Amino acid sequence: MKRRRPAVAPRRRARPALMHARRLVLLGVFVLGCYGTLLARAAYLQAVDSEWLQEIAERQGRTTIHLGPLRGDLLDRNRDRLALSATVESVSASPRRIEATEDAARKLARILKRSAARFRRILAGGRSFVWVQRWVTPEEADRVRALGITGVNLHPERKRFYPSRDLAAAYLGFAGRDGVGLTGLELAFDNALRGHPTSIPARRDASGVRLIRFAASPGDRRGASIILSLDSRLQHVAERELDAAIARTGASHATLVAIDPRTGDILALAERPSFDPNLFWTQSPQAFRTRAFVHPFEPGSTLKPFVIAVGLEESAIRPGDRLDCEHGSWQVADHVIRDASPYGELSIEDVLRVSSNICAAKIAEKIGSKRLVAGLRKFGFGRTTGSGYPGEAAGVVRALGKHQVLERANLAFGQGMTATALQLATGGAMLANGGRRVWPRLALRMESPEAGHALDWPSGIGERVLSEATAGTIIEMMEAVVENGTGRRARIPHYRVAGKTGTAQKVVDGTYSKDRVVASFLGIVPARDPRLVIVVVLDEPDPGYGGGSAAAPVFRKVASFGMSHLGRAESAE
Amino acid sequence: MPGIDRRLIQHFEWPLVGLALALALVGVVNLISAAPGVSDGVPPTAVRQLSWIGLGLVALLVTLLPDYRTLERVAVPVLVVCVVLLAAVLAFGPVVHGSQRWIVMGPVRFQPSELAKLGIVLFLARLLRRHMNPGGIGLAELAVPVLVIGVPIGLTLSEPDLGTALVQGLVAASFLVFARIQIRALAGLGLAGLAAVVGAWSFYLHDYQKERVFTFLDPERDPLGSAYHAIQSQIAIGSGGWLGKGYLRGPQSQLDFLPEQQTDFVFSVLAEEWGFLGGAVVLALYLALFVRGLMIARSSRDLFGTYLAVGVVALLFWPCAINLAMVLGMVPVVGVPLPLLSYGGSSLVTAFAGIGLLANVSMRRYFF
Repeated sequence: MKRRRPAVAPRRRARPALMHARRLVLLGVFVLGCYGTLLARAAYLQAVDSEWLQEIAERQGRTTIHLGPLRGDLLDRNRDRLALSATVESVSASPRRIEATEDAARKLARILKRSAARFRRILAGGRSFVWVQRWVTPEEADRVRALGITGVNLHPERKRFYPSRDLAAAYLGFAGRDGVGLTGLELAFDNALRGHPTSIPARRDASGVRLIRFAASPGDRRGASIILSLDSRLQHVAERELDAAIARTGASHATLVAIDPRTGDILALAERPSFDPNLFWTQSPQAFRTRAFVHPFEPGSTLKPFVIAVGLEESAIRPGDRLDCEHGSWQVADHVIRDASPYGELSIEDVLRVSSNICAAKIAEKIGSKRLVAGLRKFGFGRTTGSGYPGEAAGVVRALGKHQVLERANLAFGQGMTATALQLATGGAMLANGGRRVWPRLALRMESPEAGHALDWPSGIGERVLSEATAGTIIEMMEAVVENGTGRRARIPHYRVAGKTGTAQKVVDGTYSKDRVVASFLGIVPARDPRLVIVVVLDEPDPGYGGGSAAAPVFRKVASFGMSHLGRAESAE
Repeated sequence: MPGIDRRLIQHFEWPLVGLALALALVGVVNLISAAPGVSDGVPPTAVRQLSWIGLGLVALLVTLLPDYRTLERVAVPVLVVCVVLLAAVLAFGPVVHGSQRWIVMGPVRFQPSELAKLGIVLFLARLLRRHMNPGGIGLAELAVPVLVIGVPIGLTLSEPDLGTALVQGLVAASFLVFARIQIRALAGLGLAGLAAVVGAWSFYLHDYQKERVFTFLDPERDPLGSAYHAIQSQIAIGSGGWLGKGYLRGPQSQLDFLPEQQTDFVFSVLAEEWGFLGGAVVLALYLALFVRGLMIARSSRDLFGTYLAVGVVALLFWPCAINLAMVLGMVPVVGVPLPLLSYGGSSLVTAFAGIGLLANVSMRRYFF
């Protein structure tokens, strides 16, 4: 289309178009020229640049899917799975790439069993990425895949499941979405459980990932499984009974620890109220605390068996001694110690049976501050049990000076010191097994995914901490507590039960409160061949409730189930 | 059909209509591959395109049957209708992706800006035939057509539809150049055009349009933003190589990296899957179509026919050239579909109506 001066005369009217003939040819040349240029450019791209452009195309179509590690399982002692990990798929969408939104919403609704309106809302608005539904079942995933809707994708993800929901939730703890243990046993055994992350090469489209089918691959290096000492049946009964106790007594919190004194196995560790670890992010973090490990409290009279044991061991008292209980009121320093009921002269056994504070204080005086503190520490009070559980507390047993007579008296009935429920249980287990140290054993075995790689934890029984004779004497005295003392509600037909109640006033605003107490019970069964040591702690039951009335009945229920259940389990072995 | 002159059937313009149909069918085959995602069966877009080809053939008959010389009389009313429709778009058209381009009447929707191309061709052909001046067209004579044509172009620009407005303007400009314009007039027009471009840049162009010009000048500026289209298109075409990846096998198009692969970037899909060979065949078909069109212009018995034919060729040639140059990364990305190949009813029906006009001119030369 070049500019031309007029050249053709209007004479040739017969074929008027002819005067444009040259121009038309020029037009043709112009068009040809344009096409030649375009063709040359195409040839350049497709021949000269072709190779590296192909390389770019290949590279941008490639992707790697990074999968978090597949955590190992947590199993109970009977190999019931308490926590497990699986690869689940999530449905995502790129709404702006979906052509028939209405149709897609209806099809998804049918498969995922939600309302079509919900998916219509999710797919509306032309965003480039939305989650349609997280964590669908494998069947749902396959059916969504079969739909083949453009813009609807499936993503493999790791998910931690807690099939028993709130069972032992605080104790087990939980792992976060990234597969890392955050609390409890999940954190304690995180290194073993965690495993290794996996990468899978895949093809991607412009909007993200489009997978063919994900299946566990050999490169799927999962973590080791941990077989816990926990017995989920006993755990279940314990939690049921704690719930009942909370309902009955109005306690704000309840804890139960059950230990096998022959091995240190933690058979049950219950915290109520509990929470659902499958949805931990929606729950109150207050419920995540495993109080048995992390919450020391003043145990009150539940400590008395240990004080008397120290007295016998140190020969400060003898089993046959009789003590004057001062008729219920005794001045120490500038303070008056009182008993619940006034007593005159009592045997050592009766001191424990009726739980006299005055006589316990007199025993402490006979032992002396230094020996008392050292003796209690021998039982494990004032230091952690060495369980390795995250955040385990040591409790406080302070060394006492020469003139701290009131503090010494208080220590004799479990005040002015703190202990965890676990320390009471391991201490009780030391009395129960004839005087040997007990470390709580959380797990029995670690099994690596490669066959044959397993590790067994040694039993938690250690050196002797007190003579077998003293241990036996204390157990006998504790039997009297249940038989005819403050722990009568812990009696179980056909079994001899040893126990001790505790009703400790809580410190409120610097002084001991009258109606806010911690009710506890330490029970051992069978007394002559102990299999089960159970500590029950009820925090702030309604006024009027104490260790005997609130905590002992829980022990009775759990221990009687435990005896029949463990008997069966053992004869089955 | 009675009433149809037998000579029409005898002298039917087969080569032209055949070429147009061939290109449109290549388009359908290509659309099957360009449909997003992998799904079984023929995608709905290809089916719809096929039905639009049917509609296009009807339009072809409509523009072919009446003698084109009678069309000269309706040229002005047609342009008026086009302007009214364009105004209606701005008044009532729905906003899609930030612009108003459609008239929607129930299930029917079309772009009046496409129809306006035909209106402009008819109007200019009529005007220039009447004001044929042996000394060339002067500036004074240009005033009226420029002002009149300025209305639909301005309206299209306001939608905004830069690409179609550009094509309309180029079609009009081709006319003027072809119809012998005086140097002075051309210079004046050129200055006015420059002023218009500068004015449009400062007051009219949207930021995204400016951004496209910038990224054309410097594609690395924003590889994931505006330059994405151009880069992905060149990757697709280039990775096609000489013989292509094979039908339905182009990773760029099948994995949906190509943007707008059913409309503006259909050629990239074709070039990726059929390679240089396939692209060259399609280019050859277009070239044959245009050459045939120019031959028709040459053989026309009257000036109106010649102008009409040249106008229709320009109407097909410019979007074709712009689209291909854009897809090949030679000019900035402007939204101009590839005539006959891109998915879209308005563009397709307009192209067939234009082919009908060309055939009309071709076949009437035997009617003297």
